[in-house]
Amino acid sequence: MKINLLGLAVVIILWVSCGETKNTEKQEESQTNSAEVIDGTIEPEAKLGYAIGDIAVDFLLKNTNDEMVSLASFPEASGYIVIFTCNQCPYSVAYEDRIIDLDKKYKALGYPVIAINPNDPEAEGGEGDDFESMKARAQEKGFTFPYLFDANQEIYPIYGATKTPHVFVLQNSEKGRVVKYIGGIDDSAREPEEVKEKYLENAINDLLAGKDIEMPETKALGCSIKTKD
Amino acid sequence: MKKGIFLIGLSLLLLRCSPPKKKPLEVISFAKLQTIMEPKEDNTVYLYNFWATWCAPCVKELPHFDKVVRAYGDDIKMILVSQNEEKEFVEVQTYLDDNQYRADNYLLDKGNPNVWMPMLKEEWSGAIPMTIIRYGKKEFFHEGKMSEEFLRNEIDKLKKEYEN
Repeated sequence: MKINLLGLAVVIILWVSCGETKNTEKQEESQTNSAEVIDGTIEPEAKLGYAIGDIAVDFLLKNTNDEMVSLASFPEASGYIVIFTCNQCPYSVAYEDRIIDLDKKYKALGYPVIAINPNDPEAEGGEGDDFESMKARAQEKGFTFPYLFDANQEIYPIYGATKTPHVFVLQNSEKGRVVKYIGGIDDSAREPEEVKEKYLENAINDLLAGKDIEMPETKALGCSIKTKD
Repeated sequence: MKKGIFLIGLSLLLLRCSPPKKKPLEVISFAKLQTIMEPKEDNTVYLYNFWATWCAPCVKELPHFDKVVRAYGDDIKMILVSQNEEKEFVEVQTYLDDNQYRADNYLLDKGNPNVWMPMLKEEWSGAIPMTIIRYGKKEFFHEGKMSEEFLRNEIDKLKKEYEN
């Protein structure tokens, strides 16, 4: 008889304590209300980097063949496909073959690719983006374009690159090298077979045809640029 | 008869006392994500973080995001939106199981980012980690990593702004 009462007491205590946890959770779930128009504040962040129409600066950066390269190294070019990219980011890696193809197609038409690694190899997440690894990758893949090291991390903030890969198409004019396109390469980074929109090619084709670029800015996912801070 | 009652009682007790079922990792469309992210007036801070297992700064900050969320208790809810590929589902699930963050976990069916990214946040250029914190109609957005201090400060700022 005593054991039964004790057992009953234990059961009741356990029952009640378990029940309480469940109730709190239920309350949380039932509190979702219908949406309201958002007029939230946006954390102001310094707006660095180029906008369409800006004149881009030249740079002098080391290539994987140890030579210094600048935009001026291409005196015959009508423009340049500047791509901030790196060794480690899965998005950059996924695009390597497509970048090689872009250079193959557009260098002959006056728009060579110039790749720049903006990462600090000594920063967290920057491992594998050091100059020696860049050399190895350029060799393995047979890059036909310069793969430059933004050693002091000075160029990418001026351009406003925030990730890899990040593309800036420049066009030569009397005013200078005008930024004509900013953004991604196409609409399917890691599934190349599913590409439907080749944003970058469309933009360059528009330039070559003397037309305004239909979509001068596109969005794409990528890896943040690695800095020590 | 007594045994039967005992067994029934025991099983009911076990059911009631079993740990709450954690929501498993769910693949969602952008449309569903928008619904999930709709601003709510319920005195809860909603912390949305966009990450991926391959993103070093992302996995570095998640443990202290979790620490902050646990410290704020019921006042805050974290929603983690993985940008991994769907074919990496198991890898993502494993990572989340190993870490047991206090969060709702989603894997975004990414489709064409150029279409939905501007709809989610025009200012976002596409790098991860990316964090959006919403409290009622107020919002904080940050592209890039956040230290524990930075995160706490922004949550506190948002709550202060809202209560004024």
